[in-house]
Amino acid sequence: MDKKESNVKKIEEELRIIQKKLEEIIDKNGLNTKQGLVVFRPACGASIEEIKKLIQKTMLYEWNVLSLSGDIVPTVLTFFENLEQLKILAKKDPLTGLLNRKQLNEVVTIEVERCYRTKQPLCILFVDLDDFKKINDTMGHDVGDKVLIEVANNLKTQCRKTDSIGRYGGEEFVIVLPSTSLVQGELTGERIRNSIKNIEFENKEHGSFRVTCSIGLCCYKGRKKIDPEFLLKQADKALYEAKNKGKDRVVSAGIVDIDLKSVEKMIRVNSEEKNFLFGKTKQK
Amino acid sequence: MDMKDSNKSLSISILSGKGGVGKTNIALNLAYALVSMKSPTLLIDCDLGLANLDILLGITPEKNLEYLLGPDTRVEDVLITLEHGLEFLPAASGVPELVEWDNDLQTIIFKKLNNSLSKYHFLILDLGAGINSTVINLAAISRFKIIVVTPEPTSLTDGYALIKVLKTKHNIKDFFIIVNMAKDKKEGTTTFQRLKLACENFLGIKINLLGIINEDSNVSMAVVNQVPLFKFKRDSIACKNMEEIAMKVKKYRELLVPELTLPFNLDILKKNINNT
Repeated sequence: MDKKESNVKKIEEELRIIQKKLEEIIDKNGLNTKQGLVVFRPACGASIEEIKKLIQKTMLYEWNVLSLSGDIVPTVLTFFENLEQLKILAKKDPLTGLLNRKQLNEVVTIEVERCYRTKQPLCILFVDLDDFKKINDTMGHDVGDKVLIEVANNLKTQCRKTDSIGRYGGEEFVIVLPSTSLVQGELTGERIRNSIKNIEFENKEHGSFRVTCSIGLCCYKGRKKIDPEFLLKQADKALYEAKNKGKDRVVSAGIVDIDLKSVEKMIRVNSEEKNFLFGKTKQK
Repeated sequence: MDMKDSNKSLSISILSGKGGVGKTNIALNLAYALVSMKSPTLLIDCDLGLANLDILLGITPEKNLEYLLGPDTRVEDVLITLEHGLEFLPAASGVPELVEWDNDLQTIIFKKLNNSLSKYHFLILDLGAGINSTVINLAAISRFKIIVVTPEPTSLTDGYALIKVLKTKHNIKDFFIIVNMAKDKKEGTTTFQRLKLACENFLGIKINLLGIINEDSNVSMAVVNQVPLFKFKRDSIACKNMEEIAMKVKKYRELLVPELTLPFNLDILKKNINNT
């Protein structure tokens, strides 16, 4: 490694450390623009292209570069490029490229509203990899990350263009299936479970291995107004049930907005009216 | 009651295409006739949203089939015992939202039914008129399909249309025909022959004649009195015709017993989705 390369490496490490520390400080103090700072360090000998590559590699697009040569153009261009990346990143999970949690919540809110208006059923699937912690613990986080990326890619091939897939947290994925009935959602769940099970992960150190997943799902028919959060909770509950029942299975929480009360409401001719029409009753 | 063939329920759907050809009456009296032959039977009103088997029975049930959509409602909560060996699952009136059940609702209800109906020999489904997707699906998931026609050309056409839809959509080929309201045996036979030839020529399937029921004023009198014909006038000609039909149905079940498993084949509802 030459001197310049090790210098860049050093900057990368520093970037990560400072990024982490800065986030801690901001977390502690809360956002206060009046007390904001710009933190910088000179990187003599490094070109703007090198630092740009570094930012892309680390995905730390919040970091901007200031050219010391006096030419303002590369500085401004890099700034706007970073801004563009940040806009995309704000919606996506950096590791898998799937939607992030915040964006996914927005999609669910929109789809719940659409379902209520159009009465086209909506299914939500929670997909969680079984015993993922073991992979991280025994084979390392790098292997774990690769598994997440491959599972994410597999999910992308399993879904239609109108579906939305997001990484909800750690090894938990959420799939939003618009215009999908409960029966269809269950079939899709089974298909995904089998497909993930069949991925063979190659690993030089530990040999090839496979993972299973548990899936919880529920369906909304748009018959009554519900909180989108409630829909996610029901699917999550079904996922817990799938885990408790022994993993590697699909559990359905059913249709969330059809219960006895709503059915009773739909029935318009009651027994009193029928009795009146025929003026006789044998059994009540 | 003879229970040696438990877990061997034969599901029978009664269909017509056209309304007013006597489906509900046939379902009801077939059930009574089967029970009189010591076969435990469940009568299910599947004329969803516009049910009237309860009217023919002169009862006003508090609960109905639709209640099974409630996650905690059990089949036993909705059943009404009409007499020893004969139970009844009523449906609701005035539910436009449920006239056309989607596959989800059908699956929810028939899954519950599949898991709790093993004690019956016969499950008789009185389906609504028309060829909407509910009628087609419920016919497809049941084992034995009875098509009711009358000598009227409109009824014959609608019956044929129904057979054709079931054949093309689900490749169903086994149909049993009842000719109702026939002036005499000859008119009944002619009617059946016409339908049979049409099915052979255009659909390439062989349909079976299950029976002919004579026109009989006792039928409408029983309806007005809200008493099943079987109770109202058992020695009437229509009632005798229906008892003969019941006997045949019972024989068919005995032949089918070795291959009977769950009463309703819900896989068809899943295939239904994949094709569309």
